[in-house]
Amino acid sequence: MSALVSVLSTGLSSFSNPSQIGPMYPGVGVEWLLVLILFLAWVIFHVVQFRGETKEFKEIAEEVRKRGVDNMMNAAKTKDDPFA
Amino acid sequence: MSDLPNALNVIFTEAYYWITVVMMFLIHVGFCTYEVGVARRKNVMHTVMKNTMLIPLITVTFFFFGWWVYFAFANVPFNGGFIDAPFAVPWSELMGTHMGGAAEADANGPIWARLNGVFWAAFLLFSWTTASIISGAVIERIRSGAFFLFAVFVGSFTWILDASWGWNPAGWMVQIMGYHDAYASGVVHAIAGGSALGILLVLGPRIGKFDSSGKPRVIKPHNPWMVTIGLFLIFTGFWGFYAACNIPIFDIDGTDGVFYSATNIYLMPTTLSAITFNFILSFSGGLMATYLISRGDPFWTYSGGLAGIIAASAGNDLYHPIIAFGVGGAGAAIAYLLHNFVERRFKIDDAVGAVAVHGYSGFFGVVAAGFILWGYPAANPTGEGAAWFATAEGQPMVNPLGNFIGAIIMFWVLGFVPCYAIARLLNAFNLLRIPREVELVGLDSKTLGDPYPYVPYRETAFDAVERQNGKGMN
Repeated sequence: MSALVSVLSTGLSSFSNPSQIGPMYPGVGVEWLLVLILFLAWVIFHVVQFRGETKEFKEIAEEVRKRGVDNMMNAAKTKDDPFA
Repeated sequence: MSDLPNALNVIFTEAYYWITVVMMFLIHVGFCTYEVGVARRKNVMHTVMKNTMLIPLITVTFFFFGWWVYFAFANVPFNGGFIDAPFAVPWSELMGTHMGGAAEADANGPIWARLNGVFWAAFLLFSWTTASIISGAVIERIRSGAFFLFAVFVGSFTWILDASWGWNPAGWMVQIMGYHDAYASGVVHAIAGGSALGILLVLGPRIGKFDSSGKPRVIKPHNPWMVTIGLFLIFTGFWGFYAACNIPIFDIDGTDGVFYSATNIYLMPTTLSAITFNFILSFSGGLMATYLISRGDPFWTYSGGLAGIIAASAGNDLYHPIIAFGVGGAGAAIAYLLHNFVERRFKIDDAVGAVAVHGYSGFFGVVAAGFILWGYPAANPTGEGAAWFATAEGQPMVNPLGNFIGAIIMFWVLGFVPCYAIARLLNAFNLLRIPREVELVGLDSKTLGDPYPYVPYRETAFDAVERQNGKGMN
């Protein structure tokens, strides 16, 4: 725990001399790590999005081919869950 | 900050930009509302999520590199090398909560400590707008995954690159060409329109949009009233956009004296009052022109109001209000006429008219400003590179050639070409467009569901066209 505090803390425990205060956020000195975490989250988002929509589109296309476009268009307009 | 006048100036400026950011948020609300209104009922929820998710994706990437690009690329490639911008890299201490104390050694340190976040956010909101413009054009058939890549590319790279060149007072387009585009006719709107056109050309029209003879069919919005509300919201947010393009208090005296004024983004004098005159008159010119030319069509009248502002924006820091009215009216009329011509001639299905309203009127606006403001100082010289045309005091001069070439750079070079290339690449891997089956049944059909579950569906004439197109698929 103390190691974590030492990494995250600015060492700032007083606001009584504001003209000498610079960065105020936890993690001063390890911004690169925060940037890296955000970068990974961003890349993962794109990958998950492409994979997820590809799977969804494949399932819809298969169902449409199986049941017919007209039937599926009707179901989409009349049923809460046209794929049920 | 220990002296009161300086503190008041810095904290006022901080508050000023913060308010513009909140106002500009309405632009995005408006784009979402507008786009959702245009979408058909089967695609409504997908449409709103596609537009909404560009917000976090551009925000993250604008934090990573977009802000840095604005400062670093101003001299690249024609006026020198990269400019050091330590306050804009994502790991900078100034990209976070900072009181300015430890930055005292740098003359600009205290200012950047206080203002970096609000400046960054103002530019970020412009970034959302560029991507949101594209979002409307491509609805109902683009894959969200593909759109998100375009949003990041345009929102966090190409538009801010063009801003670095043509909006930053030190940018090479300003310093060498005398490019003048005070409220972003080209810098935001022409590039977004050009980008949308590049994508649309590869993406293709919605199923059934054109009949067998090539004549376009009308695909009715699911809620025309929502479309008009959306545009009203965009207009409202646009006030904030204009204010955000100004510097509220700046010493503009070029001699030894001191004279404080608001300036445009090039640090050249204007006033909030002037841009208010011109904003409203150009809006009015656009509304009146398209109301007449479209015979009172609400969609085009509202869009024309927007096109009017966009057309006059390049010079609305200096125009007379009646000039702004004329430029706005002409730009809106050009947008309307060109949209219909391009749709018929090239079979481009732009669902919201974004290419016309933003691209064509933005292009026209930049070119018009080059002629109308010919001879005005574009910015103070930085000493890097010689201007094509200079004033007697040695400042780069606004001129028609610089603005014409600038419009081409915005619309075609940084807008159309790269997005067309990326669209071709994504299309080659089948990652650009949704399958035909999904387009016919609707993007919301499987996971998001009907947005109006208590309202019965009424079959439209266009549904029959789609059914006809779907025959033989199973």
